Amino acid sequence: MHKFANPARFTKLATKVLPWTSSFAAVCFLFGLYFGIFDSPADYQQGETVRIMYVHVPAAWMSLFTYSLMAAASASFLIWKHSLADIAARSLAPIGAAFTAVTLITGALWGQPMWGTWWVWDARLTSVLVLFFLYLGYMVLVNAFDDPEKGSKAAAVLALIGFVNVPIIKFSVDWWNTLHQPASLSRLDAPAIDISMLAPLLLMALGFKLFLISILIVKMRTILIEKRIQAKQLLKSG
Amino acid sequence: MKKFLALVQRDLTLVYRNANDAWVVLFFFVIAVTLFPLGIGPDPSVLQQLSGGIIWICALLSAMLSLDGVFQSDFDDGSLDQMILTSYPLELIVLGKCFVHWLTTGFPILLISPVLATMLNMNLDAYTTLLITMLLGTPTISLMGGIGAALVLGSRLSGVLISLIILPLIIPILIFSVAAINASGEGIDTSSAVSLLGALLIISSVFCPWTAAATLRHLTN
Amino acid sequence: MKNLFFGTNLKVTKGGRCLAKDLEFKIESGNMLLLNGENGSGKSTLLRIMAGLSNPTSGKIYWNNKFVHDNLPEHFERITYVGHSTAIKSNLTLKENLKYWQEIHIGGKDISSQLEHSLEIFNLTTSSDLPARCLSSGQTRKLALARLMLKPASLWLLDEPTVGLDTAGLRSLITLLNNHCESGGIVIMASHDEVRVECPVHVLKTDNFKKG
Repeated sequence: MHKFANPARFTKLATKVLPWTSSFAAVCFLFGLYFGIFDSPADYQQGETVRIMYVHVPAAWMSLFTYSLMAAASASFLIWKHSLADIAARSLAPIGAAFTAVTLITGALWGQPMWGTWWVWDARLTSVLVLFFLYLGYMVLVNAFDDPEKGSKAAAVLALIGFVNVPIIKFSVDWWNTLHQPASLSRLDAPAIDISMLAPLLLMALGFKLFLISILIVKMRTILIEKRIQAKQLLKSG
Repeated sequence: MKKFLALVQRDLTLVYRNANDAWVVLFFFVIAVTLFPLGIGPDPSVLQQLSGGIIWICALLSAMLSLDGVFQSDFDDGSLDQMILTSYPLELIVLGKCFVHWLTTGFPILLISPVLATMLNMNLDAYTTLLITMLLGTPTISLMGGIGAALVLGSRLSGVLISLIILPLIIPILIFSVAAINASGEGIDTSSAVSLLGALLIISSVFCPWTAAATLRHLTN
Repeated sequence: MKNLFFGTNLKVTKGGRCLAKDLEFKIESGNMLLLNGENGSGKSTLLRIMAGLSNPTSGKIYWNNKFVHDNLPEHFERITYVGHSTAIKSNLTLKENLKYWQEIHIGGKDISSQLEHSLEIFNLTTSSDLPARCLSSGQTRKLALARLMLKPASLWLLDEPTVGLDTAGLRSLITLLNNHCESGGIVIMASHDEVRVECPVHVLKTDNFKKG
């Protein structure tokens, strides 16, 4: 881990890895979408709308996964003070927020034909919405300081607190939901998912992961370059 | 302990001298609650159903108003440095400050909440639960808010920022409190929600001062 | 007992910018160290590092060969730091300001005589029960300096203590510095003004450690 903590080494490695991850991501998306849209059965209850699942579910997985990564990066920044970990956490936030937004939007699109309404205060949707707020809070805080280092530190602490809090929030929202709504709205409790549906789902999930890595690399490289420019300007000013 | 009391006494004196600032929060709470009947309509049965939620949401918002001041003035004038420079644990200093924040915002809100509950036609059986949830919930807000106040120290827009980052985190308090109030209004057992609130208070009274102190050390660095 | 306070290989950064590199200092009981240098050369940041409020980006500070940042509470007990911000609450009276400061620093003993004395030195006795917002900026500075009398610290760290002081105030400060050094204390002070004290003065020019 520490071996790659050097920005120069990171850039070198990243440049090598990026073409592979991005092209594999594209391949996964291509096949995943093909199988998902043309080569898998429609659900016996939900009909064709079930195909939204192939984007919605992987995005939902990624929204939590990205938050965990962000918390891990924040922790290593606070403990070992690696600036690269800070850059990773900063880059992950908008990516994770985008995944969460995709989850919410596809959820709404799915909800419209299923429940006849764009939005219901379903436990899952609600907790994803709160997760979205946590991402936004992080992004606002990280940029709220004149001294970027302070922003990094404060946001890193917030990411960790959020991470500890996510299970508590999830629990409370589930609890709240059972209080207010009959369980009739739960979807996807089909006993076992058919392989013809599972395959495109997993392909899409893999594609999302690779996409995350690729875009993370691009974002981190950009921040590193920005930092170098800034350092040069500082040097010039004496 | 003596130092703790001295610190609390100092902060209370400061609040007392600026009593206006503490009144503002209470006043905001009352006004915000009053807006709901005006917006929703005066139907007593609707208000009764919403009363717990209205009071709690307004309490959360009012607490947010004053949170950014918990460390800000001490940070600005260098007092925070002087507090760090004592051999006294910063965690306890933070705890003292959160306690003063609760005593000057959460506690007055708690005291006036039954009056507003009457105006919202809250079910008589729910008053005790309202007070209990306030007693357990508002200190947790001050403690969580302490972290928020430490996090936004020295940032631009610290006042709005603190609401954005802390409100999502204290959603559980809102959920459990309102659930307990509504349940007791319907004569259902409230012990699970209340004990969850208690658990949150206990966890945060250990965890929050520690986190806030660590944050302060990092940020004043 | 003679105390020795020194730092080696210090790197001072602020906002990601390096202000000073490979900075060294060394000071013994009874001496004063004057930090000299243009604005933005890292004097205040260096003082904060010496106080233990900040960590140096690299390098270490020692008190009698013990690494200071390993045991900060112990270090805090031996120092009094008067920073650029005065840490005076405008809504507390002068007396209250001093009283609370002393209570959280050394615990609440009966200190009224000491307190009166410290106010007297800086000629603030007559306004001792007024809220501090009534003070001028020079008087506020004096009140901040009056704290030096309230805590038996062996190391004084003063950031621009002379700013805004009148001649009488400056004289009082110099007397305090002389007494402190005479009784085996150490003073480290950042200042642009000339301060004539009787104890041996070493000068550290922070400009000399600029990057490069």
